[in-house]
This record gives sequence, C-alpha cells and structure tokens, in this order.
Amino acid sequence: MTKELDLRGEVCPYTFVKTKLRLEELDSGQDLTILLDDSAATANVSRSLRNEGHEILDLKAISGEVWRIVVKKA
Amino acid sequence: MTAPTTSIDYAALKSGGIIMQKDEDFYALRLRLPGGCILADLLPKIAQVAKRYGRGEIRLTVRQGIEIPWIKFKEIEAARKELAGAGLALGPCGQRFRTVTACPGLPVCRRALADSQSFALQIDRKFGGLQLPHKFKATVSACPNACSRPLENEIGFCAAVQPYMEEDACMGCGLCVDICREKALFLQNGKPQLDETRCISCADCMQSCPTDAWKTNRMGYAVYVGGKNGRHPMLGEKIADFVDEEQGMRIIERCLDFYLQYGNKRERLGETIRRVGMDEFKAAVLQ
Ligand code: SF4
Ligand code: SF4
Ligand code: SF4
Repeated sequence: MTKELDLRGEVCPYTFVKTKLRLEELDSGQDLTILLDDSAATANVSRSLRNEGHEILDLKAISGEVWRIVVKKA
Repeated sequence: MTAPTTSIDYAALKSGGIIMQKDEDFYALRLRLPGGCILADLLPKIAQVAKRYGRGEIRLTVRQGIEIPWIKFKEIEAARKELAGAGLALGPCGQRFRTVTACPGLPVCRRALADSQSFALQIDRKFGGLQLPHKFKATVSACPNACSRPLENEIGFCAAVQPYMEEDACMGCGLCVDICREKALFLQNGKPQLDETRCISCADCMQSCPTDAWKTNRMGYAVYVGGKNGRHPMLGEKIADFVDEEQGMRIIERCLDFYLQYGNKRERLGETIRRVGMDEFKAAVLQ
C-alpha cells in the first residue's frame, strides 16, 4: 500500500521539511503520495525531491488547486 | 587652524572612503565590500577599529556597505592602516565608480541563474574607484526578480534564461503553466506553448518541470543603463539582452568612455544619455 502525506494548507519550507521527515520512515524503493494545494509548493517539493535523488513517478493536478506527487524513495 | 600632527596619506584620502561628518572633527570610514559579502573572520577587526577609534558604532549603508563613524581627524590614518592591515580597503565615495553591489546569486539563492557575486567582484576589481563626472553605481542581480535593483543603477546587470521546449520530454502535467507568473505559457493539445512576447526569461518553468522538458535557449545578462535614485529618480533602460560577462565588461568600458567624453561635471549617466541621445549612446556602446 502506498503511504500518503497530506500537505494541503502547509507552506514552504515546511512542505519539504515534512516530506523529508516522512521519507525517512520509508524504506528505499517504497512510494509516497504527497498532496499539495499550491503549484509553487508542488514545484519546490518535487525539485527538492529530485535534488536528493528520489524519483518522481507521477505529478499531476487532481482537482482545481490540488496537486499530487508520487515519489519513489531512493 | 593648526596643521594636523599626523601625516595624512593624501593618495588614500583621494581614493575616497573617508567621509566628513556634520561636525568637522569627525569622519566616517567606508569599507569596500563588493556584493556586500564579508568573511566572518574580519568582523572582529571592524568591531575593534570602531571601539578603538570611533564610538563602538557600526553602520550599514543602503548599498551593502559598512561604515565606521566617529573617527577623529587625527586618527583617520591609524584606523585606515589597521583596517588595511587586515585586508579591508576603503570604499569609493564622491565622483567615482562606486563599490559594486550584487544579490546573493548562485549558489545561495534558490532562484539564481548566475553567479552575481563573482561578476560583481570582477567589475569592482577593474572599475571600482575610477574618477568620473559624477557618482557611478553598478549592480548585478542573478535573476529577473532584480533584488539588487539593476534599474536604479548607472549600469545594472540582470541574469535571464530563455527556455525552449523539448516536447518528447513533456508529460503534460501543466505545472509549468500554473507556475509561470507572466501568463506566457498555455496548454495546446496537452503540451505547453510559449508566448515569447510575455516571457521575461525567469526560468521558473524550467525549474518547476519534473521531467526537465524545458531547456536553455539563450542565457546571459540583460543590461540596463542610466538608472538612479536620489532627488530625481530615473529608471534604467534596457540596451542589451543575454550578454556574457566578457561582453558585459566591454559594455561597461565603452559606457565609461562615452561618459568621460560627453558627461558634464556633476551630471549622472542617465542625464548625459538623455541630453546626448539614447541612439548615440547605443551606437557608441554596442558597437
Ligand atoms: S535577484 Fe533573483 S537570484 Fe538574486 S536574490 Fe533576488 S531572487 Fe535570488
Ligand atoms: S521563463 Fe518565466 S516568464 Fe518565461 S515562460 Fe518560463 S516561467 Fe514564464
Ligand atoms: S512542467 Fe514539464 S512535464 Fe509538466 S507540462 Fe510543463 S513541460 Fe510538461
């Protein structure tokens, strides 16, 4: 089962700080689904994830303002 | 008035950085800190000079500098030497090419597209302190956010990256379209299209794309000239796009040649350009 992290309502840089903390609990190769409600935060988080070597499996707007990132832990 | 007992280094005085206060017995020493960057190791020396020769007060200038006020006339030379001994030079004031400012740029700022600090240092080393018809300010910003105010300097550089799209790499998520604050992107058949008339080359789209579908088309500095603040502010005008550092240095050089040739005493560059004509200026500077 994929883990989910709901970051709607959170602002940068806490969005990434919380993502990072959550990823630490996962094993390498596991997926995490992240929900955000701001495109700038979505871009920031996905960029930071990629900078740290994780793989973005999917990224899309799932409704008006809500963005979903699926990331695979490196 | 009696002659001062200390021997003043007039060459040093002329190069500037010693500013008379309201009360003629006191002077402020201005430090030359291009880009507003200073090593932490040097701060104790500044503090020491401020305490020993001044009143323990240190002031930050609006152009990223540091000034130590309340230095007695007779002690200017001793204070200056002590600073120089630590590698701290005095910064130009008056009718000179002033210390070059810069935003933090790469690798500090997340938005940065260039190393504004190293370019500022290069400009400062070559032109800083030159005597000119009036004060002359230069700055370097590392993206179109223009944090160090390139439009309010005699010459301002502002880094930019113009993107182009590699359609095969795009997965059509639409994030870049949402991110672009200039509304320069729109989706067509599921892929973003670029409206070049709106794009300001900030590269936000490139930095947001999860699949690196945006690539660099052109990159370099936009060059603004003739800006200033003060009594009669003027905004600088863009004269060139996507220049590299070498071209930038040449533009400054020609700009100074023009200013020395046509500038009246106490006339800022923007005023000279307005009087002589932008077309003439461009012809001289952008050969
Ligand atoms: S101009 Fe751009 S790169 Fe420089 S500090 Fe501002 S946002 Fe950062
Ligand atoms: S470079 Fe900036 S202005 Fe141009 S399309 Fe990309 S995000 Fe928009
Ligand atoms: S962010 Fe990248 S993948 Fe998404 S639409 Fe823009 S170019 Fe395509």
